[in-house]
Amino acid sequence: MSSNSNKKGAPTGFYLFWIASMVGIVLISVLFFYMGISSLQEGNTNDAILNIVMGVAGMGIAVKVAYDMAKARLAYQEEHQEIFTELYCTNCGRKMLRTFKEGDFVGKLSTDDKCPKCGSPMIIVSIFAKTPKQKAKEKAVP
Amino acid sequence: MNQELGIKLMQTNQSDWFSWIFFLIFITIMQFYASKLQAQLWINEIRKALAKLEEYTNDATKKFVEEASKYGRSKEEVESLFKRIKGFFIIQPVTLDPFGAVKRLEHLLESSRDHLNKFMVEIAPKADEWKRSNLRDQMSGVLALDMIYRIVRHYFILGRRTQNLIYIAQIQMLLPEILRIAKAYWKAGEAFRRGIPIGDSIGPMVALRLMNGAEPKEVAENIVGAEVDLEGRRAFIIKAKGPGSEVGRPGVAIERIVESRDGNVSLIIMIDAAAKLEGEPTAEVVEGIGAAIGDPGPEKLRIEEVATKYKIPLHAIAIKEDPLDAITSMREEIAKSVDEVVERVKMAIRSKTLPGDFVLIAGIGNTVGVGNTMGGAS
Repeated sequence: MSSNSNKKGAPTGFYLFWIASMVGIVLISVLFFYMGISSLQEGNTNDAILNIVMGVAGMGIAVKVAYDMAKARLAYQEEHQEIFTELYCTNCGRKMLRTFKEGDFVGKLSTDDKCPKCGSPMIIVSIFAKTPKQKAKEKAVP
Repeated sequence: MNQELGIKLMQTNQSDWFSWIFFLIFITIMQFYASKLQAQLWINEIRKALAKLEEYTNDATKKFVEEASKYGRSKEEVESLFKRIKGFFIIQPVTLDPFGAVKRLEHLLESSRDHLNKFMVEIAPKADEWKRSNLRDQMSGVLALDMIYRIVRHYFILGRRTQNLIYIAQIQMLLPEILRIAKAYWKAGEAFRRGIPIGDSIGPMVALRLMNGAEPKEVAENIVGAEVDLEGRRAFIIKAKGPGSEVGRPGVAIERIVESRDGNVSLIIMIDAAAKLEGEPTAEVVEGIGAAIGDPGPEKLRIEEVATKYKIPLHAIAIKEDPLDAITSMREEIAKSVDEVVERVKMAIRSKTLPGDFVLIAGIGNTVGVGNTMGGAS
């Protein structure tokens, strides 16, 4: 895929809905915590336990909502690929990599690309796609 | 016991009674409506997937129309012509009487190919042969996407209308795979539009490397071949005619070459991409026996028949890849496997033939983005 295509974000309404849900759940959970602590101070242990359990459950749901949102966001992001053309100099055997250009095909004698070492025209020996993950992996390997 | 319960009930205030009644009503309702609720949740999931499929189809159609309209027709004309081909189908031949079914299938496939090629001349009259074949396969991807969309929509409407959990469940459970396939077809359009080799092009890429700059000639419909010296043997290497999107008729080519030599061929080596199983590494090179070709039948049958007739061993070299990688831009790992495949071909020749023997090597697959000779056209 070209670098500028397929980069699509989720709609704004989508984020607003998720963030509003999460904020709402967190607020309710905090309220339950507050009620639980108040009940504890008043000596009402049963109510305190119930409210604190509700607060913990609410927080759990908020975490789950945040996780789902992150997952959905990742789903919206299309894997972005870059296409590369590998060239080979028949004179000195040097290999070179550059971004794919329209009209490139494997086996083509590319007169536009001169060997940086001897200045001879180069042959396209391979065309392939790379993802940013692959590129990062290559950089990490010393 | 009863007395204790009575005391407890008397101690319970009115709001607790309401809670109990509400709870019981809720449980009763859920007994009857749980499945309906489940069906509704699944319908919503299908609706979302359907919207995504529609987005893929519309985007792929738009890109195809934009591309095709660069070659002699206006966007409106291309759109109206494209509407005519939408829903294109091939009716499978009758297999109730299997006699001649492959011949009949071959005829239908040939007719379909001719139909699409003629249609491409109509839709993009100024495009050259190379561009036209790329456009044809870009359009085939759009047609496949459209068909997926239509099928999912069919089950969605049917499920919603009948509220039948079976209709809904079977499509909902297949949704992740359906969306994965649809996404691959959507991405494939880009590869064909720009003429980038796809995963399936690995066979022709290996064949081109083996040809080593030899000048090829056309040996069958959209198949080129060249004879080279390989490990002291005479090797005739064939591949589809590139760099446009073509698979050619490798079966016809192999049959023709073997018959022209009265079966005097020591070995047939076929190189093709093969579907990998989950867990298997991408671009793993494996070897086996048989005709390595993924056609619907006619080409494979020709190869098997001619090899059997003259008792020629069929050696298969497969490059494992995800079926979806096979139709999208070639991944780096797959491209890098060319050297290993070339080495395997040489090893097979050394171990199975004698110096001076004639070997036939076929690089099977779509040759989009792969030319016919190393260092040929500039």
